Amino acid sequence: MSEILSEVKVRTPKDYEGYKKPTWCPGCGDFSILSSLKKVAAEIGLDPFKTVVVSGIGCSGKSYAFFYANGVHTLHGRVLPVATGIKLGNPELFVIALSGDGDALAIGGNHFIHTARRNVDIKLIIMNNQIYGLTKGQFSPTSNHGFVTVSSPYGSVEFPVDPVVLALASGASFVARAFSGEPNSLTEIIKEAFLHKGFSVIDVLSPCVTYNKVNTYDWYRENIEFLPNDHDKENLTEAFTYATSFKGKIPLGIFYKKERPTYEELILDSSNPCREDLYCGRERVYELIETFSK
Amino acid sequence: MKEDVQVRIAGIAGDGSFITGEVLASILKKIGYYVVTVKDFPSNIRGLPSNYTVRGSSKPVYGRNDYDDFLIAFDIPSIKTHLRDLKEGSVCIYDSRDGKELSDDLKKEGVFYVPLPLREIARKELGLELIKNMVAVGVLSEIFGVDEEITDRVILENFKRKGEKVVELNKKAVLRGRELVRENHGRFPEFKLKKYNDPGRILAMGNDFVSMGAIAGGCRFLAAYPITPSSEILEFLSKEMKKFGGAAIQAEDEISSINMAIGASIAGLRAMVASSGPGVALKTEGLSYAGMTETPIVIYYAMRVGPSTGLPTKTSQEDLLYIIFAGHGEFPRLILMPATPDELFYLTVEAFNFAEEFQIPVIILTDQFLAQNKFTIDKEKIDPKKVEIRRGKIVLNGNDVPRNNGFLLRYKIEEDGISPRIIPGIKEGVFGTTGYEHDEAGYGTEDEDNRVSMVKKRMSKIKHLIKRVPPPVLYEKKNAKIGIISAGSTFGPIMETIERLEKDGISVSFLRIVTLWPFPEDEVRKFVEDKEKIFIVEQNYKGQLRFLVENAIIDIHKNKIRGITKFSGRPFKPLEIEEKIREELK
Repeated sequence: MSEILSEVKVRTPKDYEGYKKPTWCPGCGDFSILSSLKKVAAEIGLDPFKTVVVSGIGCSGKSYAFFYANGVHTLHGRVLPVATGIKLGNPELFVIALSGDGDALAIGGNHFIHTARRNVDIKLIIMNNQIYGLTKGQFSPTSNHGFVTVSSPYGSVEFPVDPVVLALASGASFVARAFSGEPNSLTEIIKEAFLHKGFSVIDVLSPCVTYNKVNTYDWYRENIEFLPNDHDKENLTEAFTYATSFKGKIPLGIFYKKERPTYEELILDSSNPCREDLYCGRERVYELIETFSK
Repeated sequence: MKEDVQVRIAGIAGDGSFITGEVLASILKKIGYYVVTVKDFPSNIRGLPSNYTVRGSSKPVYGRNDYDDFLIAFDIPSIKTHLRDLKEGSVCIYDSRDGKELSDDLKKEGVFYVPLPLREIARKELGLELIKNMVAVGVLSEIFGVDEEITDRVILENFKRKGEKVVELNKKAVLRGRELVRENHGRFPEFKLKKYNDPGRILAMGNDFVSMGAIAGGCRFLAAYPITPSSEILEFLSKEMKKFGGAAIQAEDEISSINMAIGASIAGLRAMVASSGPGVALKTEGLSYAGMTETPIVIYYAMRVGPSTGLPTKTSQEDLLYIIFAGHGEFPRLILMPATPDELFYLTVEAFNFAEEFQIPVIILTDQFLAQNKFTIDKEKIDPKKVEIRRGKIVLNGNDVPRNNGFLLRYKIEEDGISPRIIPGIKEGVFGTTGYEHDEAGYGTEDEDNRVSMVKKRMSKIKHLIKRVPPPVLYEKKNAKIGIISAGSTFGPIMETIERLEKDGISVSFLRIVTLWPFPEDEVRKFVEDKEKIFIVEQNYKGQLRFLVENAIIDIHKNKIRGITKFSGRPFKPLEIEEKIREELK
């Protein structure tokens, strides 16, 4: 972590303003996520030159342009493979992945499972509005059963996937849920995720004010409840229990947090491929030629 | 004395034809022969028919010959399958377990049949039926007149990782095979091979040469999903890459692998993926993204038989047009088609150089035949010291690049179309990259003028690229009126065909395409002009290379073109090409 903190300047959230002003609909939950991100960055003094924000396609995907850091806007669903490649390419970079419920869990669902399993040190924020916003209002993998949309006119017959449960089951080493309408706890959770080494998933409930007229700010306020303070974050069983049944409410907070060696540490043996001499393989090729010419 | 011999070992998968062939290939190499192998295996682990052909020659060879001199058949059905590749003077050694007398339909005039109790000897005398294949190796070694010291060494090298006991048992099996020949000398035909000294040639499969090229060429990242016939790249590099501080990883799917490689390339590494048709189909969205974001990436593409699952373990050149046009939208790409071991090595190195210099996707296009078969090459033909690494316009300090509002111009419009390539993590500055049409700083915009200048910028690389890419190789015969055009692995049988025709006074010139795309139109046009007939040899049904050639030449030359195609999944034999040419010239 220390190497990605800026060396000199005291920063403010304003210093992390991106190339463009956000183009989300007024009132979109994503504004709150962006503002928490900037707050955390300023608080910990994140070095923008050594940070890469990777995003996918959808309203969430636009965010790479709204934050001052290197920005990589990838294909729909491919945020995590690209982020994994960047992290393995240069493990000194701080990699933030911004994705949506469709991007991370539908078209990118497979990558979600495997990145969690590998524990690549990527901070994934799922901007979860339970709908496809940018394509104008189709149901998403987190839409509730019976949800009526333009592509589910009789109500969705599918049951939603719970990103928290899926992250826990897949082996993510930091799993949390927050709500755009609760910016203080959202900021705290993002900060803890940033300080955690390993694959960190934050499922952020982020209302779509244009297309989702069911899961609104008010609806969420009525349906959320914070995890108790005494929850043992290192206890996976307890995490599952809270994630799957919590007084009929949607639980918020950090469910699980336990460090273990990251994928890049295990694969790279602490080397940084970016710093290696590209000619260093030539001697080895001579040796290989010898083994093939025996 | 024979100076060119071809042995086929056939049975069902699990019979050990593979290891028999590998051992035989090593033995032939050690008596100074150039070797080529043709593995013909089913997509199956045990139980289905499989065969392995080994050819040894005192001259360099890159393909199989028309007929087999020896068939080692571990079962009777294998004789039936491979009978058509035996000719007068060929020897068929078969396991006599199923009866010594063969039915008439398995007999061919002039073929010498030798029933041997291979399984019985292995089981009763050596205590392990599986080892019958090494008894067969012993039989052949004795017939070829190979010194015992050489077979002992090959056995040791092949089996030492399995322990001393296994080595000794295998040596014993080989010896027993030799005794069979000595005891029954009159029953075996004379087939001594001329002895040479092994100058220590390299014997390796195509995928090994590519892997070595990748290492020497500075590749530090591979992400791949297992797929025949390219998996050996993943296996080779996952063992080797760690030694240079790089990563070779197995991705969860084909889509992930190309996106990981794109990520690693954005981070500044030389990155590649390895796959085949079904995998590349899934990778095309990534290919398109690399095209739009101008991310250097190397795609190793070993073609197999399609469509769909097709024949996964067989060879083809069915995807030429597919890979030229794969990916939505327009963007420059480079496609290289190596044909020889040294090209597999050096063109892999160059693939990385071109990818970085031009910031484009580069495809190394091979096929199952080249990828998974073994070839010999003189050691001095591959010299890692000659490898040159050219990284293009890579930027190490943000202050060297103009900015817009503090954001570095990663996509700055330049005359040659190539912008500064900024690597994240450098001092002073950040940049953006996106698959969306973007401005010079790499952030999305739908501005019409910007769109036009960005398309022109990307496409303008092509005219510079064309001047730099490897030209076709011309094998010219003076005043030849007949020409052959091909690309890739058909090289071996074509060269042998040309040699045979030359002996009959028919001169043939040969233009071998190395850069498939951008297609070398000028060279092809020039080659076609002064010929009376042009044969285009390729391994597909439609004549895809022919389509490209016809597209490049003017109409009056088109009636010269004849296609010679094969799409059975098996590589060409020289005779198949020779006969078609002779027929046409009648």
